[in-house]
Amino acid sequence: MHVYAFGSICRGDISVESDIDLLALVKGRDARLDPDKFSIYSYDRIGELWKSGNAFAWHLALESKLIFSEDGNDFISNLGVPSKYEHARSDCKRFQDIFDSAFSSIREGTPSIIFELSTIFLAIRNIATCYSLVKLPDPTFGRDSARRLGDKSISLSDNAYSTLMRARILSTRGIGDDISSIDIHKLMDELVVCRHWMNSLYEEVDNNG
Amino acid sequence: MDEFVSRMATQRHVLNIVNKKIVSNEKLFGLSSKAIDRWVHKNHLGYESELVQLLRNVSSELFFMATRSQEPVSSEYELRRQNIIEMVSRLELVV
Repeated sequence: MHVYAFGSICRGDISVESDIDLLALVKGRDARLDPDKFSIYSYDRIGELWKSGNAFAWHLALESKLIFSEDGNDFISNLGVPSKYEHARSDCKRFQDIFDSAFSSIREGTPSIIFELSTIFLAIRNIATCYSLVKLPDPTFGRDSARRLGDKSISLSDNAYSTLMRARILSTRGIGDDISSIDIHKLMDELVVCRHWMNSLYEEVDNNG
Repeated sequence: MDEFVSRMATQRHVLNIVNKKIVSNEKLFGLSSKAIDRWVHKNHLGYESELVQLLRNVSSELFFMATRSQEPVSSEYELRRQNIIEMVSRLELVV
């Protein structure tokens, strides 16, 4: 087994809201690992991600640190550089679609508004990372990725961005205060702007071929 | 539909079943085990109730599939997918 930390703790991007992302690489099953605490992947699967140039492979290649190695080797480091990231167009389209389904649910009066806002945050964060992998010299990962794209950064207000991030933390980690209907109402107009921003990223990636 | 989107649609479906039908102090925000724990605690529900057990089981299956979603489809994977469908049907009856 190999265990890695990745994400914000490796970037030094730590706040009270940060959690610690842990990756465990295993052969077959390992009952010692709690899937709530670890992202669990087989060695074969990680190898496939490297070969296909998956965005997660790039995340791990650029932002992971070995914590434990059963055999003394650094498996990820030994994989070298992942293949070129070639999925920007399809990944960006997917995250646009995910945003659209969440936004539609909200407009239709979903009873699960926090989940939908959390989904929107995921779509925003991930499309920014996919864009950065093909458009920026230094790809950006993590919760602030959409605000680290230089002149292509998202133009959401701090309050709106914070509301979306709070929804993500509530939905995944169950931490934080519930979000008021006033905050949600304030957010709605900004989500329209947000959708335009996503489209502009997609178009740029799409034009790139 | 790709597996990631499909799992998200399943989560949405389950959350909507629960949040539409159950009058609670606080809605269920997600299907992570921590979100379920919070919901159970905030609404003074029994950890051993069938509803909570079903939610935990759906959650567990979805998160298992998340880390293995792109591995070759195996009979076990299909079985888990089938389990989820059955549990969601049961959930609709329980709430």
